[in-house]
Amino acid sequence: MTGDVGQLFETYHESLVRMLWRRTGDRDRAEDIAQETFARAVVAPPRNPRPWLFAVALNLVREDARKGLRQGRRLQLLKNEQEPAPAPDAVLERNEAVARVQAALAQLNERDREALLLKAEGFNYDEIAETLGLAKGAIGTTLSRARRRLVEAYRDMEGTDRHVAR
Amino acid sequence: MSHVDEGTLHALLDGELAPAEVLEVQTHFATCPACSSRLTEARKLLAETERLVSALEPAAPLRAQFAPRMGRPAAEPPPPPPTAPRPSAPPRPAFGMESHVLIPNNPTVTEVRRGRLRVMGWAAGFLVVVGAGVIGLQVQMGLFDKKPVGMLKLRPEEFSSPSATDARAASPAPAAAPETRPNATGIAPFGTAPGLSRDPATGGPGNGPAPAPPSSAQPAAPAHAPAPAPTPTSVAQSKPPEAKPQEKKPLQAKELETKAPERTPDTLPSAEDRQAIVARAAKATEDLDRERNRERAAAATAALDAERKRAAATQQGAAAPATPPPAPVPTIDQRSQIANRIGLDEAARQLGGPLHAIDGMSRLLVGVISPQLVPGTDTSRAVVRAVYVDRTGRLVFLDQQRVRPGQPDLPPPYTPRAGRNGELRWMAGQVLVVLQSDQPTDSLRLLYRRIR
Repeated sequence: MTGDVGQLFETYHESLVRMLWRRTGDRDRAEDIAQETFARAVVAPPRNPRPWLFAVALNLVREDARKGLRQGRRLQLLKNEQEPAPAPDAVLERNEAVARVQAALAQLNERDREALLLKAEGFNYDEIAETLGLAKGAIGTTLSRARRRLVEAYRDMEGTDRHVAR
Repeated sequence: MSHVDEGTLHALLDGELAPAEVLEVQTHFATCPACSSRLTEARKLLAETERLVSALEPAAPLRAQFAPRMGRPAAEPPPPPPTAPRPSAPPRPAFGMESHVLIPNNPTVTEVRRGRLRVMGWAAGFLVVVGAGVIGLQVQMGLFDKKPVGMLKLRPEEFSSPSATDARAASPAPAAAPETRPNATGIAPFGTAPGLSRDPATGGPGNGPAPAPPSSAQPAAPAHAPAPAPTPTSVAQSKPPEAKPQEKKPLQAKELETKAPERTPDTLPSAEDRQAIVARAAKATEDLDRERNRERAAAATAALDAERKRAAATQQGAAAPATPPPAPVPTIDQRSQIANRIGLDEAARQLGGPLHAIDGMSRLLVGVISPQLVPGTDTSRAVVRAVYVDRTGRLVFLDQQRVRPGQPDLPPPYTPRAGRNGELRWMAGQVLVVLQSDQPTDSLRLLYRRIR
């Protein structure tokens, strides 16, 4: 069993962390969620591991985001008292292009964003459909919409930035 | 086919369409420029998305910043390349130490697609091989199991008919002719049974050497008269003598016949039954072959008769005055003596300027004709002929040829000169224009005014 999970870890950890990092924009969070995902795989070994792992990880991201929202409200009260140290995402945001892509990605709805990120990890339509619980026939349309919206949002931001710079 | 939707375009670019769908879509692209341009747009969108998503990779300064946190100097050379094998999974990988692993080491989308296509290719090959094997197996099972049973069913009356019984009394062999069954077990191997042999030329069953016994041998070549049907006696005489006693035969056959519908490959008959089945099959196929030969001979005879009749008719026709067949209606091209149709661009190239036209008349076609058809033209250059038809259905030709410098016998410029009957010619710049029609010259002069 442990050997199986070790094999899964070897095979999918890198891809999973990369997808989670793109999804959250936070390397620490990505690593944490990946760890939690593999821990769950130890408890209930999946039959079809790749879609299972990514589906669990994306669920954890959603849960984490909800928790983050609740914690964010409390932290807001402490903000004036303690200035947080520069976080990795603050460093990341120095890179304007990356920040714009992150922002553009954030404008997509959850399903489109996740389909796009899974496709970027080399998932085929069957696997995307299984991971996101969609019909395979809908994946082409989902991806086309996601791609168009991402590019449009990115161009809008680029245009806004240029306008502000002038 | 209606226009290709956005999802299908992206599925095509992602390599997710089935081959048949790809073919259909590509056929549509060949005829629909709108969809082709949408495909180009979708391709750009896909490339742009890939670029944007891959921009979310960790940047080099980010890694450099993490390095001191891990106790490694920032100026230290970069960690080993991402292709290096990953160390065994730590419970929580050292942050920053492992960051190089996350740099796009994975295959790109294109590589993944290529790999998938390769796998699909292998899978398709495997499926073809397996499918062929299954089909082959089915064919073999079908012929081996069903054919003898079917043959038995074809001849149920034989087992009770007195002539068949007599024949068996004369020669109680259950097997076919010995020369076609060298197998001592009495079970003809698949494909070697009489009547099941295949003609290498046609591939059809039973077209090969006729398995009929010598007494009833028929010519394979087409005969003028149908061959006599073989009697059961002649068939029976060809059976080898070492077969089962004849009194058991009808019983066995009947048993087999009753068992036949519920027969499965698991309940194969005994060797004796099989011998009987093979013998009946051989006989049935012999009969079938004979019948086919007879049909072929009849068809050949009929064809020969028809040929003879035709030859006789031809001879009679040669003697009698031949009635000419109705002449085919000539096409417009033939009536206009057009050698080759050309387009307006080619005509303009030939003439060094635009083709002259008759205002108010619709042009049927434009082509080149031999200069010999228009006397007075330069025989070294083609003449361009525009063909019109007037209200009465008469053809009007507007022939034009670019003249060479110093060409003799040219008409005056823009002054129509009557040539032969029904012809006007004049010069329009460097082009000799000849208006021809089966009309009086005065009518042609009226037409001349409409030339532009």
